[in-house]
Amino acid sequence: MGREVSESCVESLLTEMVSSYCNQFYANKPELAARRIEAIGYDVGHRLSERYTMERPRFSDHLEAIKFICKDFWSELFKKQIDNLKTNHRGTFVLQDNRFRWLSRMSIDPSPENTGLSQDSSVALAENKATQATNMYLYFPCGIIRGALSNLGIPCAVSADISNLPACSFVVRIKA
Amino acid sequence: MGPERNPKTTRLLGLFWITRNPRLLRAGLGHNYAIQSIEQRGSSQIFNFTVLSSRKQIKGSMPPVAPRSGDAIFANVERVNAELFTLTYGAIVRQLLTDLEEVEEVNKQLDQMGYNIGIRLVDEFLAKSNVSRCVDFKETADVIAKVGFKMFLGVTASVTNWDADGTSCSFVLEDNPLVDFVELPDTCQGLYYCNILSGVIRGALEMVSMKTEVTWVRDMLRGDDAFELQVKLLKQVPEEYPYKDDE
Amino acid sequence: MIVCVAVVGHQNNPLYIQSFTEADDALKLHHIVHCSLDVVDERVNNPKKAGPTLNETFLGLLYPTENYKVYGYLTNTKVKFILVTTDLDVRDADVRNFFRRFHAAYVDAVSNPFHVPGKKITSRTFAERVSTIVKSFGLSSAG
Repeated sequence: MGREVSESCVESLLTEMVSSYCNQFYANKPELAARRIEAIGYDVGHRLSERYTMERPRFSDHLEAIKFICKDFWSELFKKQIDNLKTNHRGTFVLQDNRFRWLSRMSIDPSPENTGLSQDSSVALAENKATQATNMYLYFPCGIIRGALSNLGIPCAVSADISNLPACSFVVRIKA
Repeated sequence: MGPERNPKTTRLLGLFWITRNPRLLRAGLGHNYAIQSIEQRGSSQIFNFTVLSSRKQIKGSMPPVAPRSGDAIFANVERVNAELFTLTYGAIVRQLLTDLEEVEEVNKQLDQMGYNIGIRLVDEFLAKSNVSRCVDFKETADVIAKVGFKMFLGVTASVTNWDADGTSCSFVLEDNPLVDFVELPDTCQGLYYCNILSGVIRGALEMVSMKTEVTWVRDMLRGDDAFELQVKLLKQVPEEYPYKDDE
Repeated sequence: MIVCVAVVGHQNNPLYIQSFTEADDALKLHHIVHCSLDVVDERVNNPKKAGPTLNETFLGLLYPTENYKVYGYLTNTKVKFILVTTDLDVRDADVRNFFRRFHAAYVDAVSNPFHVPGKKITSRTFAERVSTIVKSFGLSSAG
């Protein structure tokens, strides 16, 4: 068993990183903030893939590498595997995590406790802001996946889909 | 409707630590509560709540809750691979160096991020540790070293170098997951790589009414034999709540 | 005795090369490492002769010269490790053990946030660890 830290450490760090880039450095340039957050994720994924592929045979094709991300890699990060993997057999893979840990611990769902906060409109505004924050936050795991795959020789683009919360789907498009 | 003014309620209020997120509001001493309403007053939010049960009331049927050791808490919290934490922190520091350019600015930013984390983590710390409100700086420093570091980072700090009047001490860390794999390049010699830690301590202490100044004395990344953070108590406000009463 | 070890990136860019001989034969050793890269590529692209397991990271003996034996290892991230030894009687298990430990040291070195992926490894810690691993090569106690 390797060294561990409390999950709160990682969550606090991510929250603070996202907030620094979105609210402080690039408050009016969300696309720049997104790019930085993705870059940090990419760096982490790149280095993690180096660690987590130690002592295993090389992957013979893209599917094997993607399966590694779904199983071993995801388990190292979240102590669970990706729940569902789909592909169109033309270079697009959809990795679905039914309960994505980094979202399920975040307070983005509207809750009755908040309704006393103030008028309906400002609640809607707050929710809208929360959704934006969530989208920003997701650039980080997208970057991790892209960094890991690209280090395994698979250049790709990765996006996230949260239309079915708390499920989260990561769409990997491999570049030809 | 403001918070009630009778002495009992006020005393209880002192045991609550209020975070920015109302749903994270927690009781420090094992009180159960229900939020009745939240109102905005100027820049402050007032939380009105009812205490459902407190430790005092259930004392007869249950043994008093003893403060838990750092090891016991760490064994029970959700944990993740330190590698993820270490590499994420490293990537953030490197990205900040690229974006802010000046090492001094990066030091400041890391401290600020740590401060923001500290004022939130104190909440979880009090809730999970069953630590009753620390009376003095000495006791507080001990608890942070033995319980705080352990329950979050999985390592223990020691407290040394007390000054004569007990307002300044050092936390010494011989093991620190933030710096696994890290070697500072010559171009970053002015960087306090772990500066986020000093911010966390400053932020957490401020939430328990202790204004402090935190500075690095030793740094293993600069060739020292340990990490040493000096914490100086500037001001202690025993009954200050994180919001203002404006009447 | 190990006389040279090298780490080579996926575009055959040298990331680390260190010789361990008193003699002034660095150039010759670098040449041997360079030549071995073609053998690695050939092994990987024509896996039929690649040894017991397909896609195993350990590539085995790449080629023997008159004075040296050259072994290779290819990570999942397409980074090559090359080992040059003067020992004539080398146990396969020792070489595997060497690469396993070398790989672990490499992974820690590239986990340093200040190491830029694809750039030369300048870490002192890595150099020290490699030197320790090299010295203990072939000793039965090596873990």
